[in-house]
Amino acid sequence: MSISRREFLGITGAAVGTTLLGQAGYNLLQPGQVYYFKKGLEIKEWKKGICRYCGTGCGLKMGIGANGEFVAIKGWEDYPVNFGTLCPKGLTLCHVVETEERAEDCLLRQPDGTFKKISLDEATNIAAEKLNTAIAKDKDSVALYLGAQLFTEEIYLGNKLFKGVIGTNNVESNARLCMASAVTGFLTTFGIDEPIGNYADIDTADCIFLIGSNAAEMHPPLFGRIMWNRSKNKNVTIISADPRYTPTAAHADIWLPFLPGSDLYLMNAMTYVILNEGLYDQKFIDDHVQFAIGGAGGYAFTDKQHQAMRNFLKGTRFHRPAEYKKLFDNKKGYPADFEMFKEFISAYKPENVEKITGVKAKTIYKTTRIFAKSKRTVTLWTMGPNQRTSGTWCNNMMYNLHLLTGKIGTPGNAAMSLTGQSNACGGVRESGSLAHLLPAHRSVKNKKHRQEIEKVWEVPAGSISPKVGLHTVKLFDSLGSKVKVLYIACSNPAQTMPNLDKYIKKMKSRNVFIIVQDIFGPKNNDGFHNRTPELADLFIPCSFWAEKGGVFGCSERRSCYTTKALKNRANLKADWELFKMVAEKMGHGKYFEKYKTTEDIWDEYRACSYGRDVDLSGASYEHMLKYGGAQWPIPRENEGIKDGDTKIRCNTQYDRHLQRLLKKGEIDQKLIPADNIYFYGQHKKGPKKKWGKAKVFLRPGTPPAEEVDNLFPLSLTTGRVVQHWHTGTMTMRVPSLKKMVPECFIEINELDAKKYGDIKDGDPVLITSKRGSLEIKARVINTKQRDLTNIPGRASIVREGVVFVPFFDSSKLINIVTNASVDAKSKQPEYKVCAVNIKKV
Amino acid sequence: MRLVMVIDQSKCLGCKSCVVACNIENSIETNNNWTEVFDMVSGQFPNYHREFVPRPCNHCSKPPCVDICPTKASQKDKLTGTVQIDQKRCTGCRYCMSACPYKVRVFNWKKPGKVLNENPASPKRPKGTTEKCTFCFHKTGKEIFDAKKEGRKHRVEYNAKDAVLPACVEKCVGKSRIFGDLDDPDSFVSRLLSKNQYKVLLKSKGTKPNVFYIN
Repeated sequence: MSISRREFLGITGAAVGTTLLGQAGYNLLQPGQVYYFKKGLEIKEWKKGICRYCGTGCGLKMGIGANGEFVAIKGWEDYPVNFGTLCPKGLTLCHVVETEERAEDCLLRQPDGTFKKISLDEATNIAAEKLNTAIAKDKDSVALYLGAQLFTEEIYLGNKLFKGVIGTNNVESNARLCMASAVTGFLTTFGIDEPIGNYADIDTADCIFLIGSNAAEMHPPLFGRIMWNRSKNKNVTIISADPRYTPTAAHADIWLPFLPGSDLYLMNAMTYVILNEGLYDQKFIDDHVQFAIGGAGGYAFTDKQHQAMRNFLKGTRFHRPAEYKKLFDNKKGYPADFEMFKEFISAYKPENVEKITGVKAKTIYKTTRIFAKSKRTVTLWTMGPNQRTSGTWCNNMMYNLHLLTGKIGTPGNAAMSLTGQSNACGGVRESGSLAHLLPAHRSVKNKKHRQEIEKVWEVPAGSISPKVGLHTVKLFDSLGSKVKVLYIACSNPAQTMPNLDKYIKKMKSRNVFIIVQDIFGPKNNDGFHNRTPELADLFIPCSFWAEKGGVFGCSERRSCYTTKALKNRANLKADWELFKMVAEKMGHGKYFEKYKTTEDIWDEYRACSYGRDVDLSGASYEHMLKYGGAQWPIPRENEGIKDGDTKIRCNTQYDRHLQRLLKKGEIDQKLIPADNIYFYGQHKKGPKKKWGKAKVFLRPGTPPAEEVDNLFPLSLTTGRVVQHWHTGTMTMRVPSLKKMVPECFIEINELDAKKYGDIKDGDPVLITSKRGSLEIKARVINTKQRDLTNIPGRASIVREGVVFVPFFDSSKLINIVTNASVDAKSKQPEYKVCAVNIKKV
Repeated sequence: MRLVMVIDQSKCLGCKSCVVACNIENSIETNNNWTEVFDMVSGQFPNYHREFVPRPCNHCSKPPCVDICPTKASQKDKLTGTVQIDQKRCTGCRYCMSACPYKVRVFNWKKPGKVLNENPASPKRPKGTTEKCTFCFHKTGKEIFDAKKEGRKHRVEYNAKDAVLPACVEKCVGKSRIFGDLDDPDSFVSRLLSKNQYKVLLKSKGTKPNVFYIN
């Protein structure tokens, strides 16, 4: 369609008036959003579940036919996350369930490299034998790598097999690659993991600050809620800080186009404005805040972070070079106070960081004033700040902004990291499937915690090793040397690991035996690559999502049960059944006899969380289906009670765990300030006046691990598009989604395109970093375009000096180019910034 | 009666849920999308302007596709005021495709419903005919017809209880698509258009489109 812009924009019709939308409000519950997949079949019943894809955790209903067919899908109308809406991915889940590409046979790799079909019995025998042989020599030579898209029950059982029965803590999850920094951010600042607020705060906030988050594409139902909020309340301001002009930025009132890796400078500059203009809340700081540098968590800084810290200290009265190392080694850390913080922040005048961040000082002043003066402010971030070598620091900085202005712990005020995967919060963080964790926020290093879990798991005392296992990047580094058998379930590391070439070589090594459990196998008729199954030595197919049933936990601490609504395919087993079978074959059947259904596992897990901050003991399957999930802490006394869960943590009015601690007398009622907020995670740490106070950290601006230079002058940042989920194994099988974005692309700014060899839209471009190179199609958006032409595949505008590539395309592995440097504390790699060069081919 | 769609561009996320919903509802082959979401960017760094323009069929009040149709297969439906195709009469000459200034019409090279699983309620369309957005006539049209027969008020109205609406309207994540009868002064769309500035696509062509854009 050829329509000129002027023609389209210039025409207006009726009289100017107030917008009616605001007054009339929106009907959130649209009835009848039923989507049929099957011809001529009647729906016998609707079964509830949670969407398989992102961390938003939308509720949906599956229409099941008389013979158990998946007939239709619709949003769960009164589910308190999405209120009946579904994004295009959730809407087409049926195609993934029913695709002909689903694997059905167990495969074993032969010496000549081909695969041989074997039975499930043989496959589990081989897996058990390989594991037993390796364990006989060294327990730590086996490892489990889980996907954060498995149900909590399955993760819990895999965790038990490896940590409890085998006795190695080499259990990692791909959530390490997506939210480890969010965890360490929460832990360092508040002493407890997972957000204080919830999604409902979005509905009442006056200012919504999104940094490093493209919620409009990645969490559409959530961004929809932001838009509804603005349509009702004209005072709502949306701020988007992102190097790309994304749909989120397009809808935002202010766009802060900072350069990748300069986020710490930007947020320090915002803090400067808050302090300098007196926008902070002195009462809140007195009651709830202590200042800190590094102490908590020990000596976990990267070299660059140490350099930045030294540079800051040098000019101040806190300069003590001789003691520097000692002070950071020591648990107490450098002493800090508000005066020191003020002195520290004075270096970050917005005018001074204008060049580094690429954002005009004027815009920073304006943004900060809106942020601090709004009555209620919500900050949301996703992978932007998390996938950084300073990820923990970035997370701390976000809380700094909220703590200094007192905008946390009350309705409408929240700061939270939106998770990428459906069960990263529930399955991985809460049920403890990382190398240092045990179920219900317990730690392997803590003897009492180990004993508690050994009792729950009914394994002999001393079975759980006190040694922290290998974190993801180290685990893949150790393949073939330390680690001889790697068990991968529901994850695709052969496409998602940074600096991919290196790790593919390691995975191909003959010294390591790789067992892969997945719904898609190595052989495909559609020409699509399933990278990890292709590298497997033993492949075991498994059932999918609602074919097995289980619990997902989303970003706002809400857990909900997905009904086992669909018929199982042929002979496929659920992942938990496979773990159980392997354990039986290994000779550990007695530890797994009691698990007959997923509910048995869930009931054991929720019972063991009783009394912890992540108290799920009241969240039975029945309760969750009845009330649309449950937000923990929900103690067992509150089971079956509406609103018996916790909307806001660390506030005595809402937090069930804090109420319990007060009742028991573990925390003295006198310690609670008048506003009812008490950060109990920091209780009893340090001298008494610091009890229950969240930490505001001094975090000097630090450049990314790899900075741009003459050879590699552009910053590469990677991410997703709305149509495709992670590595595309599922969404690339959905015809309508594949049609919309059939292949990956590299977004280049117009000016850069001209500068690097007159690159036109659609030209093949060679992108090179120190680690590898890749040829991709260029996507150059012409801002002077006058026609409404439809481009298959969508793109946003990147700012000059930045290029963007999505990572869903299995035939173009962008992770060959990305950097595997990790955050010193969270061990999360820096996907979001690396230096590259581009050339027209 | 004049069924119209009002699109609030300020709420369109550009997620294309509507396109997917439409494809599923009407069993459309993926190459033949009936509705699209255009993405327009203009301006200069850092003051870009980005606009999402969702485009269903405009169901024009003076439709050139109807005028040009040699077999009278394309017709203006008297009850609902929408433009519909009688698939039995369509010979596949594709004149209408060239006449439509918005290029909303697509041609069925294959029998529809092969690629996506079919919706039992979606209209049956043979191979070798043109097709386009019907404003989900199999739902909305049926409801209006039934309501008239039964002598009750129809439910093709945004915000009504148990409303019957096109798939793209129901499924819009940002609630940017709004649907209803413009001849009814109390309908949500009438009230919206009386209070807001609106735009239409290609006003200069004189087609009098029935899809309105507000911001």
